[in-house]
Amino acid sequence: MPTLEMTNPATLPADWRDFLALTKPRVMSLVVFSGLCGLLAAPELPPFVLGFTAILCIALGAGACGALNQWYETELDKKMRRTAKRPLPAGRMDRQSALHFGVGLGAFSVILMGLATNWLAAVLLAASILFYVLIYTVWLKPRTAQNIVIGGAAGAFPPLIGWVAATGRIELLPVLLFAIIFLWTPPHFWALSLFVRSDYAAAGIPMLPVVAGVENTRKQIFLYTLPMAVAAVAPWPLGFTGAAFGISAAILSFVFFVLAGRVLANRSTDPKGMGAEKHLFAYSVFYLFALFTALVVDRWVIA
Amino acid sequence: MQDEEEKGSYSQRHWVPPVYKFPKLSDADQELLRKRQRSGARVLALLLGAFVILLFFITIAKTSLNW
Repeated sequence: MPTLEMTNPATLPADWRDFLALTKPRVMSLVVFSGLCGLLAAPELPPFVLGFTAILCIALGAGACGALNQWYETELDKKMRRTAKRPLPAGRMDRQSALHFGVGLGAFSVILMGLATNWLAAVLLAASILFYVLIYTVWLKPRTAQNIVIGGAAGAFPPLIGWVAATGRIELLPVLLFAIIFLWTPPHFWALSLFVRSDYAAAGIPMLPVVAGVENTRKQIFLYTLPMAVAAVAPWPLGFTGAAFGISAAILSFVFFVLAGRVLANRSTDPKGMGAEKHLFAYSVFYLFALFTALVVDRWVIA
Repeated sequence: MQDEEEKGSYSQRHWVPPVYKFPKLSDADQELLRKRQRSGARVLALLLGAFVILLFFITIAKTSLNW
């Protein structure tokens, strides 16, 4: 009977904490929050357990995206300091386990969403997972500097999915919420990519600062802030929210605009001199949390 | 002809799947393997239990409210 020695014996199963790390929990928290706000902003709410399941499915879908992204980008992640300690590039897990985990999690989240809420929400969830994995990770990211502009759509789905899970319909307000995150993603991500651009350059990923330069990226960040601010305030004049949200959105967007102006005025090309970019990146995360909190408070407490 | 085919063992005449030989693990690795299998099984059991409870409440919610 023929016998073969294992050439790559993945004899130790990965720790469950590594599977958790594969889902990118920190990114997931923002996705879950925006999905929850989309659900809470809807005019009619589902029973608690169904709403909880919808948010759980959004979280699992985001986890599947993270796992499949890390599965596909294992070799790239090895080249970047920021990602080299992840379970796959660090060798704590074999790639096949990550692939099975990602596909399984994605399929499970879509089927559970369809069974618990409605199939339109499930289709949107499936579309967001496929968009992130196939359009952004596989197609756009290694090819174009506009990767994050188009790919940002994947991260903009959760509030729309949350709303559709609650109502079963697509309306203008959740589309506006989609637009806010879509327009917020480039300045948010480019601020980060400015101070880690050497990592992206080492991995050969054509992020905007690598391809078009630091100054050009700063201009683009500033320019994207304008339509983002318009989309953020738009629900107020369109009559979807009250003045509380409108004023909050205007103040938050104004601060974003000022910080983007500081980034534009910065001349440093050394990551150590990029305090303005780091402030903008940190504020952009707070901005989205605060904006969506204001939306829910306006629609629930004030209206 | 038939006599010739009957010569030799079964595995010489037919394809049989190979038997993989796993390298022998050290005691420390054995211990780590068992530890990971135990914690993995515990987490999986908890998740499955939570899923069953969730399915139960989803069914109640969908049937009682006809939502």
